[in-house]
Amino acid sequence: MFLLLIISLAAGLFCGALAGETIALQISESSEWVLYILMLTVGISVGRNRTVLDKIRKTGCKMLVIPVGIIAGSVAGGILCAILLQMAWNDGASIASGLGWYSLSGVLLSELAGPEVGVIAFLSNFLREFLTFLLIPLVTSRLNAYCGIALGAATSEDTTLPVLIKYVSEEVIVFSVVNGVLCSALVPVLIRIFQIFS
Amino acid sequence: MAMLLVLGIGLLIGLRWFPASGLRWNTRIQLICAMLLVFCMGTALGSRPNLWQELQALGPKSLLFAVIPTLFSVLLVYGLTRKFPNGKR
Repeated sequence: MFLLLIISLAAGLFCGALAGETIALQISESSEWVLYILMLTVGISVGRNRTVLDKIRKTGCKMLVIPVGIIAGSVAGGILCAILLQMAWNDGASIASGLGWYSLSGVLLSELAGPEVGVIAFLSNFLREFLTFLLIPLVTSRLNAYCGIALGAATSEDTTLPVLIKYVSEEVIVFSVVNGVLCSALVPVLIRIFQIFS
Repeated sequence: MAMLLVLGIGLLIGLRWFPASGLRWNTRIQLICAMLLVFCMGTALGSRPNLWQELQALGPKSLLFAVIPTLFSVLLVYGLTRKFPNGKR
């Protein structure tokens, strides 16, 4: 999937360089409907996960500690990065609110905050996923299993779950899936909320 | 706000009416939409006059945004879960 998105990005860069700013702006404005369709499909994917609600009901608030910690830590880190890079604090918070979901955060922020912020969101969240693959063994052995979930954030329900499975217990795998679903559901919400402050 | 409303509608559809057989198509549509939007993002970026200088600056910024939020979230979760069972395999 990443390869397809990189090809799309490269094709867009090439067409943009040839077409110029006026046509690029027209293309950008007409893409809003595509974004709405994407949001609808994201909602459907999350809504289909009925078992998540059952698991949260059984385990209670304990399961929510991990997504709360991930979101709070990520947003705080994003605001710090924005301060260090002299960017708007809410753009930093929005970028970090991607929580590893590089495709959605990149395109959403490109629409809401401009292509530069969108590309940073795309690349940084991709790098977060890449770092997760590399660091899960180290983090789970040196800290604890739940920190492995924190690395992956929104990707802990799918792409990084196969790596996590090798290092954590079955109970933690359930935490990982629930965390991934919750974080994924909150990515567009958090980004939209922080962009209100623009 | 319209975006959140659409997300909410999708949630409701997924929760109540969407058949399991449609999930594969849902995923494909997601991918196609993501590709189209990434293409549009690339177009907007590609049309900028100082593109290459900007791209050189975006790499290190992206790395910082990858490392620091990840580090903060790992440390915070570590602090919050210290009393949880070990959880290792």
